[in-house]
Amino acid sequence: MEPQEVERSTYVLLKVLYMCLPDTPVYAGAALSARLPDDAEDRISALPFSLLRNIVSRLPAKDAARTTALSRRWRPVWRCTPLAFADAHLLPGVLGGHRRPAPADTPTLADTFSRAIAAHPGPFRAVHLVCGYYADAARQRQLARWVQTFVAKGVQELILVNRPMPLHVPLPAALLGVATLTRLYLGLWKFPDTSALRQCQSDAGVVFPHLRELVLCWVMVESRDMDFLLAGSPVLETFGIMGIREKAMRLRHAGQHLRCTQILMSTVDSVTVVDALSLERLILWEAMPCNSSCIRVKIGKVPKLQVLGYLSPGSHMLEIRNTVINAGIKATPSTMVPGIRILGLNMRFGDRNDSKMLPTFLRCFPNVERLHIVSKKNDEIAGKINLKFWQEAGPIESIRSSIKMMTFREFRMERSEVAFLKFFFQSAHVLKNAVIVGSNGSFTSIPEVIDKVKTLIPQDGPSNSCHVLVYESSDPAGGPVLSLQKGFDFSVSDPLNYQ
Amino acid sequence: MASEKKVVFLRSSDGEAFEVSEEVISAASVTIKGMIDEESPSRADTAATTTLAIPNVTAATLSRVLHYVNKHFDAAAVVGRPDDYIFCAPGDEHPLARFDDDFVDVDNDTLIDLVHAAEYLHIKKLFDLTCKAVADKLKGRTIDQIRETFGIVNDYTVEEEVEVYRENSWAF
Repeated sequence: MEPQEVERSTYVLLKVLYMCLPDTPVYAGAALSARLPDDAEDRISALPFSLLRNIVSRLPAKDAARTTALSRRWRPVWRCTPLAFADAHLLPGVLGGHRRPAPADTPTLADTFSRAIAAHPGPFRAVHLVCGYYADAARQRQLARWVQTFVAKGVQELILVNRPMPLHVPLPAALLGVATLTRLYLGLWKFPDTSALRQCQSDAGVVFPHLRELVLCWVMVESRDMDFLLAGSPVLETFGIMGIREKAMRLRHAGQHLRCTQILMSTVDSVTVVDALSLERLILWEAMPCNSSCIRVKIGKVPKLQVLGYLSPGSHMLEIRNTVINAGIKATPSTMVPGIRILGLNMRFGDRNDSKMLPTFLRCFPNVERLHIVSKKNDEIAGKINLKFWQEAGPIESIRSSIKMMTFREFRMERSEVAFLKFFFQSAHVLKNAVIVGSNGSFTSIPEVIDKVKTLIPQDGPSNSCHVLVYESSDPAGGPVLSLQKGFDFSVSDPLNYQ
Repeated sequence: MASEKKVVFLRSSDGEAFEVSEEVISAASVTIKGMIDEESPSRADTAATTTLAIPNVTAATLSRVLHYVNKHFDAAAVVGRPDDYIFCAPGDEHPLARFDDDFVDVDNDTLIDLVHAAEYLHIKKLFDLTCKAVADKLKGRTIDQIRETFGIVNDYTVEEEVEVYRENSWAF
């Protein structure tokens, strides 16, 4: 690759990756304006020690450490406050508002970090290193020393992203010894080989006894190492992979605490969720099959699963309790997942196969209340998918009597899309809200879309009293359909909702 | 106001009484909820309204706190969460973000009074907001600027000061 091309792909990759990361541990926005004191009395230093710690814990690392110089009263506060360090705070622009990758590697940052963790006795509440470059031997050694410090002093939240290129720089195996971790994000690494660890397992295979959140982005990892990692994280609640491409991965969920799994932009042949007793959300986005022609999505015993998205009727082979869901299969209780309330679908409406599968898929989820559709472009328009096609497909119970909210993204006013929407609005008896998001650049004006949508809702039909909102997508590419952080946020009741 | 809504009176350290809905203040303040729960048995048979003494908080501060509490905890006044089943246009920020920003844009003494009050009354959201606001005043400033802003006296000896700077030289 040309250097410019490398730079460009580095930028794009990091930008996508940064979108997935949690916020920095402390907010580094603008400082409040200083108001001169009314008198000279020092009331802040008179605050109880615990309050001073609380205040210092809310400062970026450098500001926090500098408070030691204020006076004797302040000197011990920083050392007694768990460290929060984010390298992005030291680079203006990165993560400020828009998450913009730093233009180049910055060795002084790594040096600053080394000195910070040497000066602080631990524990470390959060360490976010997203700007570093670790490909050469000296940086590898430095990273290994950091990991030793993490093991010795303890770190709860760790975000470690390698700045490409190269892509797959080895991650020190010692990282698997940081038992204090509760949240771990790894980006652009080669995951260490765990075979040695697997052989000398002493503690019943537990690697991270406290880990609740794990996200791997563009990490090259063998299936057996992934299995080891998941099995070794007994209290894991949220798990995400992104850009895991090298190997076909069969993801089995046995974790008793796992509540949310997200598989984004990854290459997988099958996703199996069986005996996932706590799983509430399973979110796939732009997953691609590896060796086979479709991705097998196998759903077994998942008593708490409520959110499922985005299924692609054309390219996902759905299997429910050992029954493969073929087009037209008769819905029986054994082929239904009644707990699903929120369903996301990726649809190519012009595609006959997708359209044939859609009613069958919907019949597997009879209690869906919120349906989110993303309309995908179809290269070859095959066959006529008109209103008659949908009417002949017969009534769909969930549309008739349970869907209260529907969003339709990337609407291009294609005939096949229009036909489906017409059918939908004609049969949706309990629909209260609908959101139609026009694809950017597909129309001359929003009123044009509104006029079109109006013609789809029959005046005397069942859905004529529902609220319909029409937007135009602000992004030519449709914008980020989903946010990893939102998927993990259980205070957001519908993570697939259009924002 | 609605006649059936129960109210309580809060008496500040300097003797001023403030009326507030019992439901709202109970949702906001763990401390006052505890006081009300303790009073309850004796209140059941009397129609008299309760007055609770808040000995650590002055009238000026208490009135600010109640302004915050009524904005944040009165279910009738609170606007729906933007991400929930209620609709908000895309890009809307939290409706109270602006209120919060203005609320803590006050002089240092007032802010520290609010920190103390939020801690004593155990109002977590207000405590977080005010501690963060204090931190924001320390952020991005030199040591001298912070000392000047808060009236902090440098009581280090020269040797000590050199030592402190040496310990954390990475941060200066």
